[in-house]
Amino acid sequence: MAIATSIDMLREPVPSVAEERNLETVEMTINMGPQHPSTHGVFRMVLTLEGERVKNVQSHIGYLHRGAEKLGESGDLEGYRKAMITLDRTDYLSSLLNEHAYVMAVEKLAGISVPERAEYIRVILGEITRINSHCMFYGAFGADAGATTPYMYAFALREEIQQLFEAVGGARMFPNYYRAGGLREDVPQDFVRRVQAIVDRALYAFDDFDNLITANEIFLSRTRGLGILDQTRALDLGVSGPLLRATGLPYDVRRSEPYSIYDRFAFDVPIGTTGDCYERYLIRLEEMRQSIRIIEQALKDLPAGPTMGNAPKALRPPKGEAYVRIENSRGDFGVYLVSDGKSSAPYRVKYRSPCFVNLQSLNDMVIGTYIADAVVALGSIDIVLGEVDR
Amino acid sequence: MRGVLGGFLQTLKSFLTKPVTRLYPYEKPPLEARFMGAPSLLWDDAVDEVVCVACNICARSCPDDCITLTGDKYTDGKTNKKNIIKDYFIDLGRCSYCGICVEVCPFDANEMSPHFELSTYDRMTLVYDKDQLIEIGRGVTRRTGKPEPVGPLPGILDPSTYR
Repeated sequence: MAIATSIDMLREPVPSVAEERNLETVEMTINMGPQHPSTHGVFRMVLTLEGERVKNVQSHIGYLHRGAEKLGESGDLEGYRKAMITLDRTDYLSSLLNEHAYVMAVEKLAGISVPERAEYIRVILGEITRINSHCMFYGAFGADAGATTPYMYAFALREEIQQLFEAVGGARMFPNYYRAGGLREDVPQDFVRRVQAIVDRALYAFDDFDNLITANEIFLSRTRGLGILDQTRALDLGVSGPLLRATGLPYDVRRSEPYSIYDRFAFDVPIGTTGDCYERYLIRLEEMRQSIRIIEQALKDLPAGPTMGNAPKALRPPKGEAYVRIENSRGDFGVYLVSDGKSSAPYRVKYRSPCFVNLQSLNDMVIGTYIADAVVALGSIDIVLGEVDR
Repeated sequence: MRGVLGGFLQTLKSFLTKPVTRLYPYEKPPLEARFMGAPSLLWDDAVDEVVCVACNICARSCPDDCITLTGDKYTDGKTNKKNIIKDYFIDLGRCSYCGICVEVCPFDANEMSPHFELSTYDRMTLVYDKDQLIEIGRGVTRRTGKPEPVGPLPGILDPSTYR
């Protein structure tokens, strides 16, 4: 580069380094994952970059495939119970919600009725699971956007919720607590008191969550206007859950197609307007508060009585099929079961996992953004790779 | 700028409250009455032998196929069982702690013990034999149907720790 010796030379346009040396930007392909902390599991993105910009993204899934559906079809004894063990481990963050869908499918297949008390307890525990899962999202999303502190706040609450699951079902992550026709056993004596304590604590914790990053300018600039998915595109892709609600469509299976006893509770379905990452975050925070509302109403009405219905000891449903869907913490989760009428294990098990479908929207969100923002966009989908790969 | 300061204020507030972390190996967490650790075999003190009659239902119901057992003809005559277990192995490296084996047992011969610390350098030591399973089941009783004790609220749920 020539050194300016007169004022006229300064006025001339100075060629950039790239132009002067005849350089051109070449595309670069980099692998992100499968072993990468911000891919939320074992997920591989092959990113084509032009400088810092993402030009194309190719996702590779299947690293965590464990054949959960096929395993659910096996077993000579207690096949219908065995399927739930593997189902719990697919979406390990919303295990009790998924159990609810599965037992509802078995009940529909076998024509089993469920006592009132069991339904209420299922709703209470399901909503607590939703809070538990959204806490995980809160922590992980903060970490994706560059803050590690949210994890600490989210996990302090998660710890107490998992302690409750341990008291109720015996295990912290995979309680395996629901049974076709009701629950494995009644809840502990101090269940109501403990849930109430968690509700009180959670309301404080949500305010802490808000204070910590919701209004933080750095967080806002990282998430606002990023990964926008418009409503028609979201519907084309079959996206559900908070991703779809962020685009402004108040679609929630609990409201639009009430299952179990969800038609008895008053709660709002939070929606967004633009469908960016920040709105998905806000919607999940608001959903946690709405879950608290549902829990409070259910605790107030919780009836006494049995928790197990007329389910036969050895389950052999008649020939037929059943499909049940619920609002998982990630979206529309469905269980499809086929019984051949002879064996004690389902003939076919199929899970419709929201994570797998929601992940399709990654290309729409990521292409054109910076590579650092790709991490945030992926985090806002809130995938659980166990459920994507099954 | 106000948002960032709000975050700082929040961390300062948490800094001044009691920490909720526990130093795990030194400070054991309280286990709930229903906690499901490794499955164990129960010992019948009245006749001084295992309750199990080697009916194989637990092994067939196991989702992970981690139970292997063989039976023997029972000749002692202390109880009216026909068979008694000769060998009983549970591969705890495969076990998923689901509790189905306990649920299906028609003779109440097993229970999930509170034993959960299984770290080892050799994978084969995770295959527990009959004696080890009886050992971890010592003092464990069938819990099903019994009410749990009501204690103080655990962890950070005590309002005085966060208000």
